[in-house]
This record gives sequence, C-alpha cells and structure tokens, in this order.
Amino acid sequence: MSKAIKGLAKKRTVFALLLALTIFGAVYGFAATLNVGTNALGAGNATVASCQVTGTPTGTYTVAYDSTIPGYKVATVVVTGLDDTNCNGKAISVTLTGASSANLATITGTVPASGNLTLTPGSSVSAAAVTGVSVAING
Amino acid sequence: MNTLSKTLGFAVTVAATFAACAAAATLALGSAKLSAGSAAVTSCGVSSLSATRNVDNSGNVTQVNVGGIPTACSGATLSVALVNSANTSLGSGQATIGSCSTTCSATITSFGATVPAANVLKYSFAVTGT
Repeated sequence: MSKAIKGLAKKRTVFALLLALTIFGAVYGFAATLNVGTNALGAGNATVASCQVTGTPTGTYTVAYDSTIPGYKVATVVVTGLDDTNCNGKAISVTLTGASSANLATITGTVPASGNLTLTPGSSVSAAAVTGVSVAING
Repeated sequence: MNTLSKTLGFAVTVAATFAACAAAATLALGSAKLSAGSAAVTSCGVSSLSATRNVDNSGNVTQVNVGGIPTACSGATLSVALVNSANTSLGSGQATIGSCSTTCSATITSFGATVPAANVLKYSFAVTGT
C-alpha cells in the first residue's frame, strides 16, 4: 500500500512538471509570434526629434508665364533657412496648398550640404492659386 | 512529499507563465527625426493692376508702366507678360517695385523680344518677394 502511494506521488510530480513545461512552451511560442500575427498589437512612446535646430525653413518663389493657365505659374520653390549642418542629406517634402488647404503640388528633394534648396513643381501650378506652403523634413 | 511536489509544480507553472507574458509585453520603440510645418503664402494686396504702354514709330512696345500697386508690395518683384489672343507670351520682363508713400508704380523696359503692340491683347502679372 505504501509503495502504491509513493508511486502515485511520483506520477503526480512528473505530471506537474510536464504540465508546467507544456504551458511554458505554449505561452513562450505565442509570445514569439506576437509581432507577426494579424492581431498583434504593440504600443509604446518615443520622442520624435527634429534635425532643424537653427533657422526657419522659408519658401520663396520664382514665376514664369504659362499659356495653359493662362497666367503666371510657380516656376521654382526656393527653400531658405534650412539647417544644412544637421539636416544635410535628409528627405524634404514641400507642398503648395490652395483654397481649403487643397494640395496643389508636392515636390520632394534632399537637403543640401550648404545653401538653399531649389525645387521645381512637376505640374503647372497657378501662382495666383497658392495660399500656403507646408514643409516636412524626414530622417 | 506529495504536498511539496504539488506546490513545486504549481510554482513552476506560474513562474513560467508570467515570465513568458513579461517577455511578450516588452516592446522596444524608437523614432526617426521628423520636422514639419506650414505657413500662409500671403499677397501684398494685388488683385488687379492697370498698365499703360509706350510704342515706338515701328509699332513695337518699348515700355510698360504699371501703377496703383499697394505700398505693401514695396521691394517686391513685379513680373509682366505681354500676351496675345492665343494666350501666348510675346515677351516678358521684371522690375523691382520701389519704395513709395501712397501707391507704387513700376516701369518695365525690356521684354526679351520685340513685341508688336498690335498683337498684345492683355497683360499678365505676378508679384513675388518680401
């Protein structure tokens, strides 16, 4: 009788250990696939820093007559005031906006090592329609 | 011994579960630098302008005089195109709007081409700068 009880106790111990290992393996496996599952969700906070430490990027413009408008179009957008030292090589997007903040044209480029950045719109934008400009430097 | 085994098994199970969950909750997060902003592109007050022209004995435009420019446009650059009936620019020129007290004026004398006055249907203008 004593042997039977001891044997049962050993079996329970082994069962408990097996159960522990099984649960650990299942949960650990789930954790390892969390980042690729469609229902995965990770959250956290990080500071979004800016490379533009000094100066204020400012859009200035040159115009040219365009018969398709007809009238003057924005020939180039010259961005002055870039922090070339810290933003050199970063991607920059300049968007010309019109009434109701409509996007008239978005021009992309790279911040130069020195001096101003001259961008040419890919489409004809009436100078009279431009009411705003947005600039973003990414990277 | 039996109780000890059960307790040990349960403790291992709980520890393993919490350890795995803790690993799952850990998420490293970083961010690249990003700068963005917007600004209004304002006008110095020009919505319409009037101009007169001077013509030489050959019938070509020698000068365009633009008046009634708001004082807020002082120092800006005035661009004028001489346009025909097909909306084609026959010639264009620029002038800097000088300082003024009431209204400003600007005179353009070079158009990059000889422009017959008879072919000019309208003026097109733009003011940039400052």
